[in-house]
Amino acid sequence: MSQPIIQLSGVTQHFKDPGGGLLRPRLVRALDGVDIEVHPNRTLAIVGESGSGKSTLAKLLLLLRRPTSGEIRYRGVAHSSLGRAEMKKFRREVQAVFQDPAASLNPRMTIEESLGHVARFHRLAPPAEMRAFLSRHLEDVGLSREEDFLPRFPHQLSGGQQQRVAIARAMMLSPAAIIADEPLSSLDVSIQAQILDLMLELRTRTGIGLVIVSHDLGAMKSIADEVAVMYRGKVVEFGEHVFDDPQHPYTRLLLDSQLSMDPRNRRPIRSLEESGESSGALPLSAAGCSFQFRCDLSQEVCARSAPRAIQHGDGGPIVRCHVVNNQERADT
Amino acid sequence: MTSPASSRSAAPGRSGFLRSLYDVFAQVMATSHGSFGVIILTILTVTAIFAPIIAPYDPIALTDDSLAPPSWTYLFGTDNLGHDIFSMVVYGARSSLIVGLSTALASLLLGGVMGMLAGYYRGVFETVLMRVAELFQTLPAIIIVLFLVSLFGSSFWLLLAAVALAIWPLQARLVYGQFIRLREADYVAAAIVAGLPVRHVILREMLPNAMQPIIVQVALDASIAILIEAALGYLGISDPNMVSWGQLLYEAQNFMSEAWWMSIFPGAAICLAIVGLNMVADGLNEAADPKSGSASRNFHD
Amino acid sequence: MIDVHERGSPSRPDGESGDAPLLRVEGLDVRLHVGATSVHAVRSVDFLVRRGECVGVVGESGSGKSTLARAVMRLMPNVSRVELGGAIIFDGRDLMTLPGAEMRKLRRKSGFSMVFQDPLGFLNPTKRIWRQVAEALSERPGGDRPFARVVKLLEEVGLPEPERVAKRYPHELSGGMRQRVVIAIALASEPQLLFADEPTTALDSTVQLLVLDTLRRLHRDRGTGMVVITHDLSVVAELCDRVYVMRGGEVIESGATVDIFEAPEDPYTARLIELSRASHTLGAAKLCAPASG
Repeated sequence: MSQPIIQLSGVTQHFKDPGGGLLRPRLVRALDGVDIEVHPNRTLAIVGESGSGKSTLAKLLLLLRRPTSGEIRYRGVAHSSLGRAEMKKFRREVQAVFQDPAASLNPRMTIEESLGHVARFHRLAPPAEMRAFLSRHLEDVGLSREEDFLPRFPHQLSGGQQQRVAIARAMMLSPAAIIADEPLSSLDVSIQAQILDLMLELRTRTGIGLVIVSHDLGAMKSIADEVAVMYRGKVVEFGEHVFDDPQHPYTRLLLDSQLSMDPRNRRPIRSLEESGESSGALPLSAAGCSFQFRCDLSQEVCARSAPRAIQHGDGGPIVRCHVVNNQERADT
Repeated sequence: MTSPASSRSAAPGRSGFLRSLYDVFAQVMATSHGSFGVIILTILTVTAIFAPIIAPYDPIALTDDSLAPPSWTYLFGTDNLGHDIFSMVVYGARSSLIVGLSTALASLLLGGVMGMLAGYYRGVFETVLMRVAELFQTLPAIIIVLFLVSLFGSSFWLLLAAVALAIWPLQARLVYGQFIRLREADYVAAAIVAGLPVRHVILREMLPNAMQPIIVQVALDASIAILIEAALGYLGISDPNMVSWGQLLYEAQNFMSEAWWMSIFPGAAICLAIVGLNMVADGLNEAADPKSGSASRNFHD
Repeated sequence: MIDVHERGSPSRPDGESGDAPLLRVEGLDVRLHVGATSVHAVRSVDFLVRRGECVGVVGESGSGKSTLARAVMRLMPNVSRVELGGAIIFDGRDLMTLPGAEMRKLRRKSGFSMVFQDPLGFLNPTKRIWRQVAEALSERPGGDRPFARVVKLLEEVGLPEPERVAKRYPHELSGGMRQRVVIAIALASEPQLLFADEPTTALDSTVQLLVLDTLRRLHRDRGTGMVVITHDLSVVAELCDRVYVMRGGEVIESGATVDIFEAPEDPYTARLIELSRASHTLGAAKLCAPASG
């Protein structure tokens, strides 16, 4: 495969837990040994629940944070040795789309100002042609010139329109990659489809690498080339057919938690025992697999050591689970 | 809510900072507290500026009457030496407002820059700057001022510097808190991701969105400064060459029972200034009340 | 069809009053004024909840679904001027004309309760869970100790180890647990009708299931009437007997959930269902339809 635009290897991010003591600060491992690559012309979906570290991962991919350990390489250069010029190039080549489109546009700036500042700084167009340049890019994301969005403030736009503006701001820099952190979750269903459609169309037209961080498995299924499933800071499963052929018990649990959309075939009401929930927060730094407490496959080995990520066959899924990996080994 | 038409007419090139100032002013005027406070402050300011025209007598010159009660000749009466109190109160507005405004602005500058840097860069900046601010904050303002005045003697400029030094941590902590919050805003992240320089991110993206509470703090700082100045005047350690409300109270101390007018009118003037500033601050807070914001957001749902 | 004449007539024999709807809203009109702007948020909506029934109100943002619920509960934002029209009859009483004190009593005791989207905003961070639930308990002279009753409630909403949960503070619980605590608080006044405004929206899908299970169990075991306001059709599919589809302040379609899901009459409803189905069945279908508007 081509050289990745961004490559994370063994990336770990710790946060100080505000609940920890002063003398013995407790560390929260938001990310733990994550390997991810962003390639041009591919869509990578990162899925997981809240607390899985997926948003932290998005921030690291954008170099908005530095990892505690591990390395982020941008076109082969480690993040610690990125020079000023390379950093500037990174800021042009890697763009972001955020969750809440209303919050990702400065409320006190018109669309023209918000986009204009960026365009002027990067000298994307001569001053005389600036308006035309911005209008053209808004048109590219489906905001027509006739409606004249430029002089408007963010709050005068609908959520879908705001997200289109945010996408236009990212796209006008002709980026190599876009990292989108939950770009759909604050939008209505009908708007979600349109925005997803737009991102996919831009991806195919421009050949950018697209990373979408999402908790919405259904939406990701239709657009992702590769899926990384995250649980508690670790990628527990990675592959191209994660949704069709899930391996990791957590992936299965996630898929199994989807509601039916069929009022005739409702899910049975589970009892407390069946849901397998415990009252305490799950232990943070317990030895072994972090999923062991919720896992129905859990065995003795899961409590002893943390599973390694193992690839199943050539080009197959990469799975981080003792039980599944042992079965795989037995089969081959 | 702004209609599309009205915002379209807004000059697109106008800086975000000026526009946010104007927005804040318009919002304050829309509240009853705020507009009343602005009226009080306007009256005081006009009085201060046109003091020579408004005051019937020279505040330092002596009239023929001493300890005269309020009358049509001497609106607020005269003091023991025969100064016209009305004229002195009018001129006192000058020093009080100058002390209030300039120290509030000085602490805005000092505290603002400190707070912005600490809030944006965090890390070492944060630790050092905020500890320094805390150190100043734990000492009561009046102690700092007394200390400086006793070291360098009381002059007008020293007074300003001392008061500013006493109150800047309030502004620093506020700006710091705002910047910590704004640092997490998506549009700030978006500006950083788009490669915009730090100067732009701090001054254009973050500062305008922190203006509202900052201006509230300026108003409160000004009222605290006026109070400190009055207290210093009352203790008799203010600049002796200056006519100030606090000093008038100092003079009035010995005549509380014979000449109530000597203390009542300067005291009322101090109250008026404090009330005016606090009402403006209230108006600002009212205008920024999240409830009104959420109402318009819930509106369509 | 609703019989308008049965409105709270005291002469009705007791046996029949069980069939009278628990909540009947007729021609409800809500106009909100904030400053100079006004929004006609709810437009002549008819709405009905029978005893023990779970009704869904579904719509996208701006559809007026939340305003409808707030209007019925008379919980309108106090910064806006509200113009109400129509009739809201709850358990034979017209809420439009009910004095404020009576209304508060209805919220406190065997009337109705509300569950909001964000449990953290609802819970007091400085009080232990059991105190917060106990405060909402309906007065029952000579009954169990409050703590015991709270534990029973927490158990009923499906919280594991209710005694331990009761002694915790809100921040020590997960989002899904907090939401069930809020449901327990809502149940503490023994309401006949429970309003749930986006009860699972802020939750992860595995946790969403737990809360849905709780609501469904309550509906089954207690027979509490429920109104679930949501943008998520799959929640309606799992939970509701009947559904009202709202758009632009109006009810554009209503009926039994099964009928609406299988044969929607309104094209807007049909499209919403199609899109939700595409995203929920882990998509054989292409999610993206031609953009409309």
